[in-house]
Amino acid sequence: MAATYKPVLWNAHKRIYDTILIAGIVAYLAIFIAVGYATADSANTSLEILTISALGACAFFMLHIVLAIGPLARLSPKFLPLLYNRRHLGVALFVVAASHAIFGTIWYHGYGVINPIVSLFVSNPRYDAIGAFPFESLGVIALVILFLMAATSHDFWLNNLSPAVWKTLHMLIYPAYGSVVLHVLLGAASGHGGSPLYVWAVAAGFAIIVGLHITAGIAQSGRDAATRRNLDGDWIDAGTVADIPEKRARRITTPSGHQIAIFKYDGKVAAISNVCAHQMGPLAEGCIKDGLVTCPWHGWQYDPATGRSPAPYTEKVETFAVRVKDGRVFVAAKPNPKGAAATPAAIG
Amino acid sequence: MADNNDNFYVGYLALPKGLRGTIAALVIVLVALIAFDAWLVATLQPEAGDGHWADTPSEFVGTLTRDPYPMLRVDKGGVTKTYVIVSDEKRGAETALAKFPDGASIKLTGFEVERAAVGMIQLAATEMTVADAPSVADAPREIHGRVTVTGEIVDSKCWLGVMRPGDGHIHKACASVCILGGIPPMFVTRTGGAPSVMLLTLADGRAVPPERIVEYAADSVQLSGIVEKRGDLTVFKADLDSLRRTE
Repeated sequence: MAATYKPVLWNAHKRIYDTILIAGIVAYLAIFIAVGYATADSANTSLEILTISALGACAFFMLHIVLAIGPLARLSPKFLPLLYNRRHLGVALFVVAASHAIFGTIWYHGYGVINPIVSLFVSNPRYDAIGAFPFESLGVIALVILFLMAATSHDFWLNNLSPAVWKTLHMLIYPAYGSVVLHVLLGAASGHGGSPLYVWAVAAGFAIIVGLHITAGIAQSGRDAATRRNLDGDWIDAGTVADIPEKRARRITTPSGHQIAIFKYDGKVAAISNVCAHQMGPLAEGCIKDGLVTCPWHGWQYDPATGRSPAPYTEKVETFAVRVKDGRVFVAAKPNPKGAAATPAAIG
Repeated sequence: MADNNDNFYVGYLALPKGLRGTIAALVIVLVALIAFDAWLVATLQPEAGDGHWADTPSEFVGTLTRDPYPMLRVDKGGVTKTYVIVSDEKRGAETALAKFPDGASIKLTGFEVERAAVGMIQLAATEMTVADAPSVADAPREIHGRVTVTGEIVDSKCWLGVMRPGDGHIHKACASVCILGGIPPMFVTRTGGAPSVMLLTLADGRAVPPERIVEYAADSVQLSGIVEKRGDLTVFKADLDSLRRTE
């Protein structure tokens, strides 16, 4: 949460995360270049070309990590520490990818009679061919998307674009990934003397990413189905109080599609929207910390009775009226306005 | 008293003790993945080729010819060595050599490039002068017959050793830029073992206009023409109307 905008709200975890991130990038490039020299049949290996390849391979690897974190965190909360500072990973990915693009453009398209940027799009004119399609343009598409994502990664843009628009924009990571897969298959993996193993390695990475998303999607779908409740007048029977763990929540979905997080804490229950005002994280998977609902993604907090973030923060989510009768929780089907107080129900 | 929130992760709070093992395991797995992927992809890089590009410039004295591209015939102990001449960056040497007539004996400084016994000089940024040296005669021309071959049109500078590798799909744009910049084109065939390379000309022996071939650079193509030996240089006098892609 942020009351004012700062470039980065540093804390110990972000520093450790970024240290590991930078060390990982340096290690990847160093291993790649060292192995490239050690295994080359010819002593002629070009450091420039090896560096361009290393930067590209590192960016492609980082893109897989970025894409894997989301579904892994959906499958197990143990991966949430990776999600917490993912935007720094995304910005670092853009920097590495841009370095690959800049050095590659200078090396292969520069020093000639054509503007290097123009050359990117015209020096291979075979846009009508599949196997020989200009892989450079596919890389440019991905890089533009990564730039847009990196440039709008700050909460300033998240708030000004709205979480829904921001989220949609950042879902462009999937077209970017598709574009990069083709960029690699038609470029690096198609070079003379290259190995078919390169294609299989790309396919394996693709299968892992797709497999993780399908698995997480199936698991999420099962959880979603279990949350659906029917109306009983204006109220929804949300199940027994006893089955909600202390300081945790049960998620239900109304017939109209509202997702509600019902928290049990300090002898009472309260209900607020399941959707965090920050990045639409699942509040029902959070917990009560210091009397506040705490989002599992980035730790944004809300008073369970009002749906408001504690001062000086100003974020708000919808609240829902709640009752407890005969050991069962009943929640109003219609939400209160964002930040409107709804008295928690005593468990009795 | 411990509760079920003790291990709940919040980024801006102290790391719960119960998550330390998980974080350590994640870092170890990540390090292993980094090492494996970097090693694997590095071993899959294409071969650099056996071209050579000298680190330091040398002095060359010989006879200039433009038949059909700028070349220097150098007498090396009674044996004539033919060097294709190019400028630095991705540019041919026509402009740099404009002041010298064909057949002039000149002295120049440049970086030697060589592959498959074909030599090249990349001009260094130093002055070239007329040399007081005997003319080195052109070698007799021997026709080795008409052939149809499959291979790749490359720019001579990159393929001979300046880019390593200087062929294939990744290098297509660079080859195009080089050929458009006046770097003489060559034709490389890979039937069997070591690659064979020929200087590419029109069927009548004139220089190939770049726009006739540039879109085919780095593609696998088939081309018919006459192979002509000129001493240490092999020339492919190609019928460009026969040029077609094979994939």
